[in-house]
Amino acid sequence: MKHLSELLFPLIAVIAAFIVGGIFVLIIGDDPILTYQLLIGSALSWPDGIGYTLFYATPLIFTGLAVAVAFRCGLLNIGTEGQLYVAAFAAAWISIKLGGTVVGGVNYSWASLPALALVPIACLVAILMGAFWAAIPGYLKARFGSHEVINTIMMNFIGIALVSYFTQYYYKTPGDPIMETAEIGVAAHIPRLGSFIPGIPTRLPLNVAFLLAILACVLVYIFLWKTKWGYEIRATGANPSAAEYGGIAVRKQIVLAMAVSGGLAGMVGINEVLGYRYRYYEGFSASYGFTGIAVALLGRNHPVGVFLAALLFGMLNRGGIFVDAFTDHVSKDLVEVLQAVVILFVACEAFFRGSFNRFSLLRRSKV
Amino acid sequence: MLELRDITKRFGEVLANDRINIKITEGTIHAIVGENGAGKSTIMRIAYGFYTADSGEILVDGQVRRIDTPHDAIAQGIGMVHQHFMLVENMTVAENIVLGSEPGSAAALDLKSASQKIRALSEEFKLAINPSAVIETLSVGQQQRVELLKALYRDARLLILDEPTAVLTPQEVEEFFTILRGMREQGKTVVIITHKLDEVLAISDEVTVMRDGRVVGRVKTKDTNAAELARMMVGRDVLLRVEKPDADAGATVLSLQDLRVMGMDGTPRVDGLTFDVRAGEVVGIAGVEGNGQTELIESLAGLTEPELVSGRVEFEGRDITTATAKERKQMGVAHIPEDRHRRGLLLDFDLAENSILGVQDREPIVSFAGVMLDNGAIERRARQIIKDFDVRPANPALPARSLSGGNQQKLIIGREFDLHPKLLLVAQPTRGVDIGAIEFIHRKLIALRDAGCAILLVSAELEEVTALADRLLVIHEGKIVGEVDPKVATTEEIGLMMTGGHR
Amino acid sequence: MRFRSLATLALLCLLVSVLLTPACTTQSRERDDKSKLHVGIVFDIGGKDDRSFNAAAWQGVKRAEKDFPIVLRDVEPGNPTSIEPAMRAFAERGYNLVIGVGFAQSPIMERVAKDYPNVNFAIIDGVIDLPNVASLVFMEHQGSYLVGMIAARTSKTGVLGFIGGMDIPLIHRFAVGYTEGAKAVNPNIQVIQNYVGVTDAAWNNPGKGKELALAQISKGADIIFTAAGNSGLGAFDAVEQYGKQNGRAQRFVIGVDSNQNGVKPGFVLTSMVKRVDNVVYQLVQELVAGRFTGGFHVYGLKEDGVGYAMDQFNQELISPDTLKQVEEAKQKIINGEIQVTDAMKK
Repeated sequence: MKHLSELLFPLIAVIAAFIVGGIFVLIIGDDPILTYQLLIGSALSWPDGIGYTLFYATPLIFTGLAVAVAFRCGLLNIGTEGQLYVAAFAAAWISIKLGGTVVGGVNYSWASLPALALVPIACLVAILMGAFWAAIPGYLKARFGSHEVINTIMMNFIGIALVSYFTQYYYKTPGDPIMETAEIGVAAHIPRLGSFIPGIPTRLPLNVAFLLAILACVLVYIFLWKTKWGYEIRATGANPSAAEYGGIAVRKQIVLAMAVSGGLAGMVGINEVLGYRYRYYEGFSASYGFTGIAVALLGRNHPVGVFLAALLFGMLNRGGIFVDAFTDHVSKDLVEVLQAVVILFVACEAFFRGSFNRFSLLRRSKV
Repeated sequence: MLELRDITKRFGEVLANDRINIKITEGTIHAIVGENGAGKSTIMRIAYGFYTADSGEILVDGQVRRIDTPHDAIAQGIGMVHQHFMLVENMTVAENIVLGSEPGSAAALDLKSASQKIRALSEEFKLAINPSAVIETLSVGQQQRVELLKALYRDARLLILDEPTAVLTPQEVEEFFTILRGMREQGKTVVIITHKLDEVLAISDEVTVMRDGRVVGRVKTKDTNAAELARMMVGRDVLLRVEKPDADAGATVLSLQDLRVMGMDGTPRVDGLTFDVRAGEVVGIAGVEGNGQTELIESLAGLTEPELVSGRVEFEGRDITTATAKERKQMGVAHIPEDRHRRGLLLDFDLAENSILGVQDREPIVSFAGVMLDNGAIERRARQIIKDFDVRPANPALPARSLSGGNQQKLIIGREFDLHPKLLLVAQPTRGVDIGAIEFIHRKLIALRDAGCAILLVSAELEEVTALADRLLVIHEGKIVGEVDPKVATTEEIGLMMTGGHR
Repeated sequence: MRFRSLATLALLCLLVSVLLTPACTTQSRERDDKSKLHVGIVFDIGGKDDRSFNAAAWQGVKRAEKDFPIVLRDVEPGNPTSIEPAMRAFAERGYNLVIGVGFAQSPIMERVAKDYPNVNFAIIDGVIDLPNVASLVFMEHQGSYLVGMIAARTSKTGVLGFIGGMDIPLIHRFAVGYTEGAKAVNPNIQVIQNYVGVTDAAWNNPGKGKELALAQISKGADIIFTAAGNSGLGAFDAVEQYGKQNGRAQRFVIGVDSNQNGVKPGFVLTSMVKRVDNVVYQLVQELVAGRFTGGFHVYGLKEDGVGYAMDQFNQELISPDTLKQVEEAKQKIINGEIQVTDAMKK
């Protein structure tokens, strides 16, 4: 019951968004019902629709969890975008260095490790790099009190520019017009789900990273609610004064929460680099980091909510392409309208909830 | 003058007022008493138009009146002074008073004539308020009188005062009561909402007692006594005095040497304190709020930035001046903070989670690998505290926010007692707590003392510190201005020291 | 509490019904006549209104849609992750031809085309070695050679400028052709070359484009050839800044890809056009005629795939004499008498 009512507001937001979006479609001159049928039908068709929906949801699960963990500590991590960029590059870099990459006679690598060693190393490097990149603003906040929102945004610019630089001047295949690194070693590839689950076509890019995303949801839940670290992080977020009183080193929690958050964001690199493109590709992120904020917001900063919200956004991304292609007037921007309205409504929740709870608040106030 | 008939008010599922009948006689001081949550503020807010009753009627001078907004109430000559003042700090008294009822045309604010009227009112009721004074330069007691003036300026004949003495020193309370008596003589009617029985007996003519949203008694003050009122409020006999044997003080547990604590603005808040607290005794700190008590307790609990603290603090002979809160907790220092919402509780967390704040990283709360929380152990601990300290409702899964102040406080006290501390720092242990719970908390504190714990107690309730403390230190502007024997010293004597005078 | 749970339940039911209804319908495709050939086009990140490359491709298919019985659908992916599913969306639905615009799409199209061997694909500016993919490449060096000649013959200072977008071989091809054409006219001419950047952003930085143009002008360049997408428009602003004397502009730019002569009339000497529109149109024509073939499709002067633009905006700017010489050179290139160096073939 408690959980059902938790779902209520996000649900209202989603439905309201669809209504508003429908009005837009009508104004543009297409049939809203047909458009939504196309949107949802193409996102849930088997196997390509569902496969792509889950594939799109994967990075959003990671970034949504990342934002949620930081938020539980009272921090707004706007820097997941930068974190996932540096992490993706780091994953590509280590997979080139240890994956025996040779392109056009140029040997980029130090060694050629087997998959059993390389894949875990690459994943770990991605996570650690993301964690490191997020821990910097965390440390600045803990040590100097500088605001994490500003610093994470700054770190986005720095991270993305730095990675572009390394890609262009050190790890690009000579003559390649595309800003991407050389291909990573085959040993670093993580398998697509289709390659070992019968019934899923191998053409779908859905890969093991999706399973990692589910695992991450479970682990984040356990971390936040079943470990002392999670307790201390949540206590810090809920009431830093009380946390301090409870003997919790608030500053340490801030750095820890940011690092965990960044590590989760970094896992996007696993999906993109090890599971899909097999290289670092500039501009690969369709604003996963920023959409992650929306996902966390809609998912109420809870792993289950984040998972569901990411699925919804994955669906919209998938369906949006079909709407763009197969309607006469509606473009893919419809999806952005839907996302924006969802967020608007969720953001209004505090307001609505306020009037919802005014009575219960009064009930509690001193009488 | 004012009569409330069969007023019923419901908030969601909670029946805040159940068929309340109150009759207030013109020209009297009428006290409405009851524990927190008894519904006394609600009924008065209905009378002032803040809330609208679900049913029942309000009569003013025998006529049924609709009072839907405070505006209606003011029109009927009803004024209210809230517990938290509603004054604009950087404006003058006159500006504050005319705010919302600007005289003259809207364009030209006629402050001059307003000031004259305020001056006249101030003289008539002996309030001694200068209309051109800026609010932030006034003391709390003076600000309260500005609030009174605000109501009088709007021609209030009936003044409703919500817990007016909570913010005042003993001297200010006495002055305030003199003012109220003066108003009664001028024909005003006063309703005073309180839970302090001695004040009820000192000031009122009639008393209405409320419990659980109902009126449970109506008496003339001269026909009653504190014990009877307390029994009506709580529904059972209440021990008003703290019964305690003499302290059997042991070894020194806490020792302060020239402790200084700076505020964030660089001024000293605690200014060279030197004293000891021994095992098995309660040392009380009396003082007007804001004289360094908060900073003293927080620094002793390890919650102050080390660079703001100088001097030396020893715990069982060890220097803990720069120890962290966690280290102090582990040594056996427990702390009941003065502000339970800010410091003591995670309001959105449930009782079980709140019950482990401070021990979240210790056995048996963490079990597997020293990392995983043991839900069973958490629940057992929560249930134990809930049982031992009678926290209601007894459901560990409820959010702390949903509990009443008294039950929140009992949860905190239970949690800290469960640490089996050698030293307990306790600030305002019964602030905003019901009479029944106060008695319970006091007994628990004495029991802890008798078990050999050293207790340092800070309270704004002079009565409370004198009742509980074995030794009483009086603090003023961060300095100890004297030590008295609480069994001998009088309230006046201590009160004078608290304001910086000497005995 | 009860009200809330009821409301929740009602909303859940609503959502489920919304979700379930479309599962069995494909109505929106009914409007797409199955007897016609289906063509889908996936634009680059820039979108179909970039007034250049994508826009030219869009014009081509639109013209084809008018002339032939086809169903045309397009996607503007907006971000790089949407390109692959967009191509697959068309392939999944059995489209007959999927066109990808821009070299950045080639690795993706390669993957998709492998999965759908029965669907025809075409990539503009990219090379994919699959039987069902037509790789449409342009001999930009040939067109650049001609505009280089025009520039050299028009220049008074003997200094020319070249502004490339991203520093990549494809753009070097423009630069090399341009320089060779200029040197053929005047062996002593100087060509200053600059590139806007090394990332994708280099196509979209008109500010930097203008800066580079002004710097080149200060070094004496009076004609600047841009091959820099949107960044090139900055150079247009730069030459306009130098104004006209006696009705003739003092500094000129040469546009690229589509005919940009009209962007700043009088200041644009000519444009090195890539007739993406023609090429795309031809491709659809071949498809309709059943003559679609995969493999390399190279479009040079001979195929009218590249060229220089002459219209009312620039006929006054270029002397008939110059035009005569350029036309002669064009013939020689077509005949093979002049070999322009292709910077991508080293």
